[in-house]
Amino acid sequence: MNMFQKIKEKKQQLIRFLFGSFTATALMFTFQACYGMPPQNDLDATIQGTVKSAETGEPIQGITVCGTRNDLFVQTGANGNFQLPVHFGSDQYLIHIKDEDGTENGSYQDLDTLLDASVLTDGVTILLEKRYDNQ
Amino acid sequence: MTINKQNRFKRFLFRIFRKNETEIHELNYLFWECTWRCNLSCRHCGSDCKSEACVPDMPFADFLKAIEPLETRYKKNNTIIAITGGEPLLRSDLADCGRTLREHGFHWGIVTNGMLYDEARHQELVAAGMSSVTVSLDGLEETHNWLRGHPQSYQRALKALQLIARTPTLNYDVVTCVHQRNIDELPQLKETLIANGIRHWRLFTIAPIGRATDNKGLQLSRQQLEKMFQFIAETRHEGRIDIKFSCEAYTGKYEESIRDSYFFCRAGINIGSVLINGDICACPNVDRSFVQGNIYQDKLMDVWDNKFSVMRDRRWMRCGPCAKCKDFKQCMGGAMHLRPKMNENIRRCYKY
Repeated sequence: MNMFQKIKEKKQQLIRFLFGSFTATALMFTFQACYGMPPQNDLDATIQGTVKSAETGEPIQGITVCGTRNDLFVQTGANGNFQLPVHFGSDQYLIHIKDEDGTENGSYQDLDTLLDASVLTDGVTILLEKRYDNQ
Repeated sequence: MTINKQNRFKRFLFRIFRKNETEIHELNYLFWECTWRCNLSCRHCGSDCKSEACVPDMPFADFLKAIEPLETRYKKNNTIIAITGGEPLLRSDLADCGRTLREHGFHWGIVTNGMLYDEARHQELVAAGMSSVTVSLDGLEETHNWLRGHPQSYQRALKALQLIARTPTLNYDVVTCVHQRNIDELPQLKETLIANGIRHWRLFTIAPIGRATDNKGLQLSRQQLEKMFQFIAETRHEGRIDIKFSCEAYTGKYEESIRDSYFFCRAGINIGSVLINGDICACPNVDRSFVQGNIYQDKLMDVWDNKFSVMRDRRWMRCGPCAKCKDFKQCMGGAMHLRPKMNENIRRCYKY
């Protein structure tokens, strides 16, 4: 590659960078062929886990598990299990755990927890502390 | 047509962006026309597919061999494979193909009529890493079934969409080909989609290509076309459903109000295809006189790098009604699929 081509390539990449960084043009890069389906979303991994009571070790149903980089959320099933599709991206991923289903299954404190990439293969167990009236 | 200063500046920036993308011409979106078999016989079809296989399905190994160089050329997940047909669900090895594509670092998705898309197939495809899907729904039940030529096609497509819409890992949309019979059904169809939890809707027109060439009654009049644009603009303003006009044509004064971004036909710029017989082209609905090579004789990346000049330099499109059009610099001659042949006039102009 000669010097002229190198400069040209650098210029092209710079223009791309400027459009990507300083203007609302993300949509320009994630296009859809008029005859085809939309581009993939960026959810490329699934976090599997179980939510349990820190006090009794029993699984808790109806706990909301939210991802931080998108609007997705799921609720734990009868055995406390959940599967949350995420875009993991970097080395760590923050999820929010909330008890929003009333007091039927007990009442638990909210929790933010930072997960590392090992949860994608090993899964995660999350322990929630009970919430008392004065909390 | 008057465009305010702000939009004029946006359009100016967009043209710089488009010129730059054309120079880089990264292959980001590759169609694979995996079969010509189809289980419907629609009155319109961009493809000339048949219910019986007059052309055998392409072996997946042939396609994989052709695209393997993309793995080293681009970073992982840079290129999405759009599996189309015919009807791709007629291939019993579809999930296996998809799984292998994911293993090789490609995202993939399908364009389907939904006829064979049931719960079991859905689970199988999602487990194989399908990340994107488009289902056709061309009106309310009676109209859709009339156009698709099958009494259950509407119910099956809707069932497929219900399955898809509740799967958060899937990016999806519904496409509706708007024609003279369904244009007045759009408001009702919108409510049906919303009621079924469907949030992404794309409207097409029926281009006079493929089987639709002989069915002129399907094409919208100028007045109907503008009515459709106004419906899209109003529905976008409501914000209840993500609706857009497909990137099939430049629309003049409606450019800012009916899509997320400006018209940019990326055929041959970011979009390529491997057709059923191995031909290398852009979108499958582009006239086959524009074929640039064949995977059985040429290397896909050689063709991508060294050919396609007809799509990357579109000055030749400045002919006929486009010759003196003031909007040519923004439109660049319209979409490739609207050109019957090289140096021939555009089939239809959508500018208002």
